[in-house]
Amino acid sequence: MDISIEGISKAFGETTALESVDLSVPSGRLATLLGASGCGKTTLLRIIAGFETADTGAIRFGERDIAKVPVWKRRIGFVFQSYALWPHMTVAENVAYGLRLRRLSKEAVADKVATGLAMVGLTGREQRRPGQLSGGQQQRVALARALALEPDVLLMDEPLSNLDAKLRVEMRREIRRIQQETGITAVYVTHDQDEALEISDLVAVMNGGRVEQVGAPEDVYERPETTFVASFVGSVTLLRGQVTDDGELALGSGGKVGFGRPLGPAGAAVHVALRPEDLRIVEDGRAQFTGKVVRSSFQGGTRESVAELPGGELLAFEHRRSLPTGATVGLVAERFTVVGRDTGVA
Amino acid sequence: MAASTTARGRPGRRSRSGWRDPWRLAGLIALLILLIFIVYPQLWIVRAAFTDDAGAFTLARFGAFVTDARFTEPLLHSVVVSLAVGAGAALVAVPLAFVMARYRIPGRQGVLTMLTMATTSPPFLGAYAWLLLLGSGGIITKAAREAGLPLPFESILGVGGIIWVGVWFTFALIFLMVYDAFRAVDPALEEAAASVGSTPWRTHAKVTLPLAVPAIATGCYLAAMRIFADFGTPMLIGGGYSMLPVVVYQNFMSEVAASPGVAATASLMMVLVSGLALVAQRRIVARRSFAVTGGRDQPLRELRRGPRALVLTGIWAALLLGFVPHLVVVLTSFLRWQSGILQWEPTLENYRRLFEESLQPIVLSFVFAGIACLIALVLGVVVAYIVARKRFMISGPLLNNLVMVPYILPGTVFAIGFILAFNHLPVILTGTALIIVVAYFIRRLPYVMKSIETALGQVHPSLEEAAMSVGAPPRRSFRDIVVPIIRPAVISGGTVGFLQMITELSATVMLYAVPWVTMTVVIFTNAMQPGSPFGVASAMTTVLLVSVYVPLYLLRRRYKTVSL
Repeated sequence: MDISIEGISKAFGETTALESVDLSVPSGRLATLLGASGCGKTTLLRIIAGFETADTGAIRFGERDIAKVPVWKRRIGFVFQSYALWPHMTVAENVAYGLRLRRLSKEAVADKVATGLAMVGLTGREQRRPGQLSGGQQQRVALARALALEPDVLLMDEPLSNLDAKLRVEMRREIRRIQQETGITAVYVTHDQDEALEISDLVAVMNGGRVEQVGAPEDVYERPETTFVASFVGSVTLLRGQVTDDGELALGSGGKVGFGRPLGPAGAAVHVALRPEDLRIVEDGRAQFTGKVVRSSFQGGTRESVAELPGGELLAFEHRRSLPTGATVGLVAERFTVVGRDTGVA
Repeated sequence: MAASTTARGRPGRRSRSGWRDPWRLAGLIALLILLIFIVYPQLWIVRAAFTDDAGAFTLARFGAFVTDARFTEPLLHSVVVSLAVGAGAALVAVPLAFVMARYRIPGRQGVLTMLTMATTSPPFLGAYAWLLLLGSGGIITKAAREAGLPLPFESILGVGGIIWVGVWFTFALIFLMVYDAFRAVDPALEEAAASVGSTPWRTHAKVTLPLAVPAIATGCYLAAMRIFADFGTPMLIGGGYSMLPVVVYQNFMSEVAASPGVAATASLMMVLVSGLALVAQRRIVARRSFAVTGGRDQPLRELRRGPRALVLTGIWAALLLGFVPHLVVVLTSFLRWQSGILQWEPTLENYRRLFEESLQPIVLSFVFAGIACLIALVLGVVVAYIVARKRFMISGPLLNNLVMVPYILPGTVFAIGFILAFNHLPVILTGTALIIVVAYFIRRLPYVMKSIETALGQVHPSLEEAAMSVGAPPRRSFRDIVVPIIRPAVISGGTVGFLQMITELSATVMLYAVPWVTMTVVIFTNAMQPGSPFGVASAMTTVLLVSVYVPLYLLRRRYKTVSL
């Protein structure tokens, strides 16, 4: 079932949490709300769930306007950051609770609980209490509980942020697998860009209560529309300047860089976003940028170094062979993005 | 444009749906109950205090409290005795608590259990039992006279007796609070002090003790207030030493010179003093509240043989003195009394007479405390839930503050308010059994409510949201999720409330009317009349002790700890 959100605004007292947010998630897709803490992503998710009411705007599940439908009739599954497993119930009881409320027969409940726990790989742990499980296992139970009722939409609020790094990667693949197997429409809140890029069909980058850009992970990464999106998603260097009469970039410090094609109308203030992996070291005179290496870090497969341009701008680039600090390098941008809207950096 | 019209439409709808919240109705009912039974009686006290005997407005009564020795004296006495008891109890409790918290003491669990028991002992028990021992016709005083041994005092009656009884009645309270505080001090803090060259004694004085100051202050405050509000002790062994609760009682209940106005004024003085004490305690605690939790547990160190013997003697001597009343009462309940004089002759006669003649007070005590306890629990859950979870603009803060008012109202004051307010229309309760039930549940409501609020604080709101997300309406999620999780706190808070209600005397003695007589009233009236059946009173006190300690024991066994 698709979710459509139109013009949602929400204020808590004087502070604005959400400002006229639009978003639509097609049926069967997983959308992430990506942003730093305080950007409104959790508030938006809680409004979709019905835990909070929006001040203005409309939410629809399919054709149905659910603004006035209370949480317990919305047919949602919700996975909480804190897992929110009921400590006085066993694993099986946690999963079965919602099914029992639906007055399903005992056999049907047992059947669905078994299926749900099998799906998250917890068969055999039915009689444990939540306190006896590890964090990862608890989150699997929470997922099974959320999905047991076969809800219309699955909502997840930073479900992995309490887990350690390795488990996080494992669990996010697991979540993606289950979401695709069940074909459920899902909204996933996270502040972790790797998580968002890996599991989403759709990423909505939020900043200051607004959605800055919505798109496929590749779009958001490769074609950021605002400086915030460019800087929040992945590592980036933003060169700020004005487009000269011949379409080159005049840097604030006085230098001029040509990118092989006009960057926009002359006189326009733009940012050029350069990903480290899009820069290549060149030996000959074709270099667009020439700078001194100020630091270099080894990252296993690659190295990421920073070169200081004559005007003082710092440019991050990826390369393989080691470079001594202080060496002069010439760099060419194989790809770049012109970002028109300046919304600050993350 | 469209957005702005919806903007105007929404808030109305939202507040209407907010009004449909059943908690709002429950909150309003709770608020109504609190207004009727807390605010309304207090208004009558204020009114009486500002009205002269002819019915005109006057400030003279308060003037008299500053100038007239008949009133300045009890005020001064009450304050001095309370301070002395607080200081004396701390002097006993703090060193013992420190040693128990830091060193390996044989029988630790037993000692802690006994101290917990001591804190729930009936308030007038000490006075009654010490009177039996050291009164002018007391067991020890008489034996000493007969043996020709000189005693340093005539009898325990008087200010010394009140302080003596008060100290042994309250030291366990301070001990338990301070003990917890000493245990909670992160050893790393003390190790840090040692690492910069502080000697162990200096560390205790400069690091450990200051960290325990909030607990000591709170313990002293509770101890001082117990004796300040206690009516039974000064009445039984004051021997003419006037204190405020006695003045209030006598001015109100006396058949010859009753003056409700004076009683009301004295009541307001009591509220004023206990209010000021609360403010002082809050300030000390707020200024010095350090986060010392987390970190490791305090390791228990070994004591050398000599100091250990000293410490053990101290602990058991304190415990013995704390439990002298219990021993005396239980012992004398099995001995024959003849016209107020103890015969050293074992008998079950007292119990036979008790169950033949005075079964009704026992039953009534249980019924009153039981019903009041259930009401306090229901109302406590409602208020705690609203305070902890709902953001009601008006009823939320009102409930939160109002419910705590009985906390600073001494039982005597409470009773006067009830009598002044409910002996005429629109609400008449005086002379009924209901007035005692209502007084019990309102007085214990703050304690019950706080214990439930603490438990609710541990139920993360997302647990309820999770239930709603799988289809449980709020009422259902409250029943299936919240109630089971807070049940231990509810049971524990309810049991402690029940114990305090069943031992209540200060308010009961003013509110009761025949035939609604409770155990505490029977014991008190017996103790006040020389030559009355002390044996039966002792037997009844023994029954009361059993009804207090059996539930407490079960509770402690089930939930390991009890918070009072």
